[in-house]
Amino acid sequence: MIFTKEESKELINKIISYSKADSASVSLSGSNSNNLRFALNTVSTCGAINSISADITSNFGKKSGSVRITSIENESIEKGIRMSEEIAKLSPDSEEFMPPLEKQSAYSEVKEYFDDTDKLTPKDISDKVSYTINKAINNDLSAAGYFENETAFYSVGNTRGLFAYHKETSAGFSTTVRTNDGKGSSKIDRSFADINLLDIKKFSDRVIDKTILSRDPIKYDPGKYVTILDNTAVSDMVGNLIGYMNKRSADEGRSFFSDKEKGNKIGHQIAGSKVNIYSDPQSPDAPSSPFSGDGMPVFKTQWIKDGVLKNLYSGRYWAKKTNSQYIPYPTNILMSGSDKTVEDLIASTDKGIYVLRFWYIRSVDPKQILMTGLTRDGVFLIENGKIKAAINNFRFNESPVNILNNIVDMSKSEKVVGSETGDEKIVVPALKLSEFNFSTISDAF
Amino acid sequence: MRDCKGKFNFTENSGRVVPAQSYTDTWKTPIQINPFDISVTDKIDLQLKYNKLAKSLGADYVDSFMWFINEWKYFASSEGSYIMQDLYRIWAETEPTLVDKSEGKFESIATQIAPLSMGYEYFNKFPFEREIEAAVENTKMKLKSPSVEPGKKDVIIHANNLFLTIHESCGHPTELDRALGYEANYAGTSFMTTEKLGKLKYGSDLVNLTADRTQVGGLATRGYDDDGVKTIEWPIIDKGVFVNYQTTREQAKYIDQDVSYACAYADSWSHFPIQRMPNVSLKPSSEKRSLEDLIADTDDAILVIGRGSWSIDMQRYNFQFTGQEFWEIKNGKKGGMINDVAYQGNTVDFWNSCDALCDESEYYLGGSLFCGKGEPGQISPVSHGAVPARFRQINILNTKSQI
Repeated sequence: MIFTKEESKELINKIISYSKADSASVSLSGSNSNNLRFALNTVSTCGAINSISADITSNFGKKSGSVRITSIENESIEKGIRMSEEIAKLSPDSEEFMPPLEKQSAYSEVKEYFDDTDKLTPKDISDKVSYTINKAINNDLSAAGYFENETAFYSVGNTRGLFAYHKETSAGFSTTVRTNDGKGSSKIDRSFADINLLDIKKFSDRVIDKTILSRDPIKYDPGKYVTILDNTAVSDMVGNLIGYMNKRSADEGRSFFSDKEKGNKIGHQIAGSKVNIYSDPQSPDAPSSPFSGDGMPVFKTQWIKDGVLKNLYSGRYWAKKTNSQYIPYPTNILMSGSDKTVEDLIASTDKGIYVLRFWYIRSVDPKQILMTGLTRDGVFLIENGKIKAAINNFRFNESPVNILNNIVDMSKSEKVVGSETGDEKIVVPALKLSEFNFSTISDAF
Repeated sequence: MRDCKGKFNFTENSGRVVPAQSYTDTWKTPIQINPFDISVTDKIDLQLKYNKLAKSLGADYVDSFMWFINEWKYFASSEGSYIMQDLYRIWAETEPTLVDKSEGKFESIATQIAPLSMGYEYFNKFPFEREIEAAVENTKMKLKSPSVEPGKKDVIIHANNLFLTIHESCGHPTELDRALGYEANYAGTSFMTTEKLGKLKYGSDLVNLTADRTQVGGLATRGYDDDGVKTIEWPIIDKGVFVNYQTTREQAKYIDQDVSYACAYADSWSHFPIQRMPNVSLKPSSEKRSLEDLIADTDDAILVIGRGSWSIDMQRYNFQFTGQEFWEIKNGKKGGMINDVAYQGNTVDFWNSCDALCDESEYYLGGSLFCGKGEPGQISPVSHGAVPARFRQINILNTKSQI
């Protein structure tokens, strides 16, 4: 269910009007989406989901209680409000209580809603996906995949007069194309606010070419090699790194970003001097919400500039306690690249490994942000500037911090969807690294 | 608890799904105390008491949570089934962190009391306070413990770690939809393909893994699946041999079976029911053997305790797991704690290297509330029972010396 800005404001004000608490805040969100899933070159399921929900938080002194309602009838609203008040009264005082945010003067203008995406029908989706399936069949390959388009809105308001509203669309498409002997595989995953950027033909052709290239893999030993990580692999590494950039854990000595003397590593050179990572809701490549969940405006924020750590995010309480700026978790993650293509990076490599994607990435040691995981859907051996052969998959044990320190070259940045950070809007380059630690062989393809 | 009113109608196979009986029934998780009858204040008081205990013992920080879940669902079919199910799940965990600022080091150990299908009696049944005391004391030791020497080594894996290895290396690859290719775009496929059914020597003769959706306390336990099929118990690995998949009514016909093993599950009204994992558990040894006996019988090994981080490839061959605590076993005795351990293996080699299991006195039912699969993504709760087991010559990594 999609509400306009005016309808949202009216409903939030109505919910708040029921409140008997010292203060209250409401966030309202709704979405309409269509999805279609396919496997073994045929559609397996399709569906449509329309939903609406309101999160209500009531506060008495330093006590708060929250309730989510999924019906917006008057009776449900009143029940929800009363229940949140009851929970708040029962709760102990929170030493870290922060009152609702005051009214904010301005939010950035962001265009993340596109009519063409909103209007997509299940028929449009199946027509688009049929190109991928037919092309896979014609090449004696097997395609599985998923398409989803969604229109969603999020708005927040509170008893101090704050109100913010954001509406967005997204069209996401992914397909894994496998050889029928089960030894070759490739995948592509993309999502854009504007359906016109989602060129299914181009992306399907690319993944099918890569699948054909992935045939007949040869065995290759694990080790530390010069490695090119495609944008999708980089997105998971950078997305995971951002996940660790919490100021409070750093200040409290329980993070890689802790510093024995200064408390945290802000101001330290933590990556190579070419590394620039920032967030910007107004980015045309990955437009995103101009405010955080509580209605705090989100502006362009530099996280790493020329390899130097510039900012860590924190909650409002921690910002106040440490007398620092309140910087919420970002709504997108952008890393600057160059004007080169991945093919340029391959052409400049005498010997190395080219990795398309990672899979099942998990933290092994948070002290050094050591992550383990596997390569998936395409690993290639590069010799004399060319892809020589497909090779087996590997398990890796590496740290995103190491990766950002081992950069030899990078491509232009592209918006991609990672295996494990798919919910985030990430724009990153492909990276050529002086070394990357592949620790064991995986027999999976 | 089963209130089976016994209306049985046998429906002819329409050709699209294998047949199932129809039922009019209600089913409820057997609980003693409904967690939703307990006040929020009581729950918060209990949680804060645990935090306070950890801090009083020397924890610098404590992360803790409690989960109370009630899933209510109603199934009706044109074949004449009307089934109401009222399912309860519960979980609590406390994780103290100790920081050594002078060394710039920190460590934490979480309590290992698993999520279960149970009521609020959970808090009386399990020794939370004793677990918290042990977690803090062992974290102090962990901060000072030496780093492991990597290489091939024997390991004794405690059931509270092994349950997750079972989940990843047996639970997932024996999902029929994965083996057939229906999950290729997300969760992955499986090395346990259909031509290996009845033939693959998955593990040593000691290894028996059973699927069960009726086990008391199991998170995947219920009366009926979301195809309306009555739940059962069946073998997956029998004396080391791969003998069965997990199936739904839609899938069973693909491997020429005429009954479903009742594994369909949808996590909400907005998602399509897909094949999800039953409780898959390792059978204890029928010979009497406690963990103490197993340690006494072992010359040189590492004892792995607790669920740490885990990762496995998309066909379920290559896995790497950490844990919460690692102890040296030397000449039949438990020695000091060691640190920075990960064990890595290939599923079939690993289970074939299993040469000793403890008996049922060491049985532990672990589990996860959040197993992910499908597109749109769905989560599913599942338990795995296990006993401590010994595996020979496993690849041990030192996680500190990887980079």
